Amino acid sequence: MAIVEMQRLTLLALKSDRKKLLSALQAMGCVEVTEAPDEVQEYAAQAAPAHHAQHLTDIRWALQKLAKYDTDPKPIFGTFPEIDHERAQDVLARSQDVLGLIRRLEAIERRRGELLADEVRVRAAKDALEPWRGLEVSMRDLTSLKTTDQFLGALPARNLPSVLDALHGQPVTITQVGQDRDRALVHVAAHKSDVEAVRQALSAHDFTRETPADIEDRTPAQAIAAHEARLAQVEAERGALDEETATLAQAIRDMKVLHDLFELEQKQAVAMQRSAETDQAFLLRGWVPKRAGAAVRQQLLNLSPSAMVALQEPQEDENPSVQLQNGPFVGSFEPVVEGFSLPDYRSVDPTALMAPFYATLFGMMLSDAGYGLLMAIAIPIYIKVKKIKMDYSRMLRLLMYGGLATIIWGIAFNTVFGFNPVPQITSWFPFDPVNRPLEVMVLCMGVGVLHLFAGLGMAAYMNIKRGDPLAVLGDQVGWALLLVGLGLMLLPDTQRIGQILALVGAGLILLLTKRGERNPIKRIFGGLGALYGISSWVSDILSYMRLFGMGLATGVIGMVFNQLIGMVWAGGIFAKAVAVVLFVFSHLFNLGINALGAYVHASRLQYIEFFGKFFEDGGKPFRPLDMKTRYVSIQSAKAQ
Amino acid sequence: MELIGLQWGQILALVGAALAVILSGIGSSKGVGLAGQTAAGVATENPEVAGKLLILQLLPATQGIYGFLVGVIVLINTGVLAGQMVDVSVTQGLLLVVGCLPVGVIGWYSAVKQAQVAASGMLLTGQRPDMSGRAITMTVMVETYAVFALLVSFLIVNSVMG
Repeated sequence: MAIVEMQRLTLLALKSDRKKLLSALQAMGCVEVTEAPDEVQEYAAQAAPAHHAQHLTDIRWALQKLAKYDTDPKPIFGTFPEIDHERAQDVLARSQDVLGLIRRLEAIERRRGELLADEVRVRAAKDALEPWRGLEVSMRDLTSLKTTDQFLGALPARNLPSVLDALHGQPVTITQVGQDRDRALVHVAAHKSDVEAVRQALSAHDFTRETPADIEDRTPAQAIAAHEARLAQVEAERGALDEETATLAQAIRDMKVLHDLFELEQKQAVAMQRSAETDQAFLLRGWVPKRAGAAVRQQLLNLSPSAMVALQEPQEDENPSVQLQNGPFVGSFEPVVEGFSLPDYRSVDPTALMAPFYATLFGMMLSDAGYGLLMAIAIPIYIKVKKIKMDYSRMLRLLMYGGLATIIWGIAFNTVFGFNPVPQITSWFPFDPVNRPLEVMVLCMGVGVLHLFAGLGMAAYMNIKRGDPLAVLGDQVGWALLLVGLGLMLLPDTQRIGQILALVGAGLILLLTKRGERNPIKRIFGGLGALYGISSWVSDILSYMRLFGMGLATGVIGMVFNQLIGMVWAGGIFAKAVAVVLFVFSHLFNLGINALGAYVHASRLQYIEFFGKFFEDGGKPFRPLDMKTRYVSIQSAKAQ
Repeated sequence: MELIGLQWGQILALVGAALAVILSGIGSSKGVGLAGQTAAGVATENPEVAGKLLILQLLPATQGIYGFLVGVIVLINTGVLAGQMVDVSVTQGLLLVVGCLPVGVIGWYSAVKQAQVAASGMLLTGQRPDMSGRAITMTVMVETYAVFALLVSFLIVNSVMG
């Protein structure tokens, strides 16, 4: 129920036992290896962990390329395929084969690139030739003859008739062989005596000489056919490559296993690099949870009787890694805290206090009992069916508890799937945000004040734990009195007592905020500055008005959907069927968008308003040397 | 419902409803569009965070929903949805327009600004996926003002036709 207590573990053992000990630590998965102390820097281990790094990247690349053949479900909630020890060893023995497959895949991808370049080039050449398809001779046949010159060219199509007119009766033939957009492609044959005149007439009509490229002694049609044959060849080769890729994909599971085996070794190598070593011995330091410390020590000594294992409490100047430990209910809310930052090792874990507030705020914002019921039923079923482990289902369970709170608040706000079925029991219950908004606003700010005071209480608790009663008086009690007093002053009956409380509170703040300051004037002015903090309290409390706004959004949008669907429902049997489908989808949409809103705004109220009162962040997460991997879960030999 | 022969107040009420939906809708469209472009860019670099990016992209969408909500409340309160528009005085019509302005104007502005924060948050998430919680919080900060605008718009619009 708190931040896990850590111990400093120091392991000094023979280098010959190192591999064995690291494997054992990894299997236990509860020791985070840290950097060796400065005194032994000069003995820093020389082991290079880089040799698997390239393989890891290669395998990941290959798996990405083969992703569309991958039939394993995506492990969103940590449902990894389990691989037994023998299988893993088998894959390890064949590691060169598996890496060979990846190299083959690389070659295939390279070839694909070449084919693509080829295709682009051939297609461009073919497209350029296409307009010349009608020319039934090769370039070699177009050389000049004894009495005749012949050449090819293009001119705007609309000029063709006039050119024919202009050259009418002269010893020349102009034949159109093709069309390229608005240009006519022509073959010109003229008697040598007349060539100059023909040329002039042609250029007067915007004629330019042009020839089909790269056809040599083939006709354009033949060249095009050759290009097409090449394209078909490219396509066929690509098909063959696809097939080969598909066969490579059969090794996906092997690649995953190999990746994870390498990753495990890589983790060990990183741990090793952090150790210090001499010719014979090595020294390794880390953090271990206190409850596991003795067991870890015993196991290490069993493996290596000559080893020295020391367990110490963390020193004042040391900053142990932080791990939160809570029961199943509170634990579900840990992701919210982790999303912000882990608490400092020497402060408190806010999760337990935050959990009920989080659920409450979530419920007030989603505020539709129907939606809440849906979440509270569907999520546990999903977890059961998908067999999601406790560690990975925290987020889902958080939403489930949010759903439960939503049922309660949905009834309080009289909203079930956008309808208002709850009868008015008393003048104020259930609440009616649309017609009596004032009550709901007061309720929201009331919940806000409770939440903020809980945060203030947490700060007081921390100050007491540290033995600083003056801080409790000045920073927490003073504010609590001032705010309660101001609140009471608003009501006529309690005005007098409210004034007194507020004045006492203000006095405490004034005198005790700058506790360390000896100069009385500076001290009072410091207190005055602190009193200005009342404005931040006002904005903090007003911030809880979002509970009203978000709740209103869910309720009113649901109501509007129902009204619109009601119009469809009024139609015949077919219209009723459509209305049912519409009802399901529109409410799922409303649930989705508002659950997201409730989640993020509930988080924000924790992070800014609640945590702002007491939270000390900066804990670094506990990352033990363990068997956690990316794709599969590999069973160690011992576990079986 | 006959459209010709409307009272000035009724026309103003419809103008207000339209403004609430149009202005906030423009903002959200711009915002979601901008955020979507960034999301696509970041996802090409780091496809694994795509899910987190979707949450960030969706955040500027809410302003449009708030505007829609206020617009529909005007339509309900003036009887348009029931098929028979009630009498609306010019003063009431003007008040409805005024009531629609906060959610429209603030909705527009905050959606665009929120999208900018969301886009930066996506870059942050792409580089450091563990910071996605912070990125979402930063983005939600902007939303506060849209929620307040929605509240005030709602309170005004809901009180006019009482």
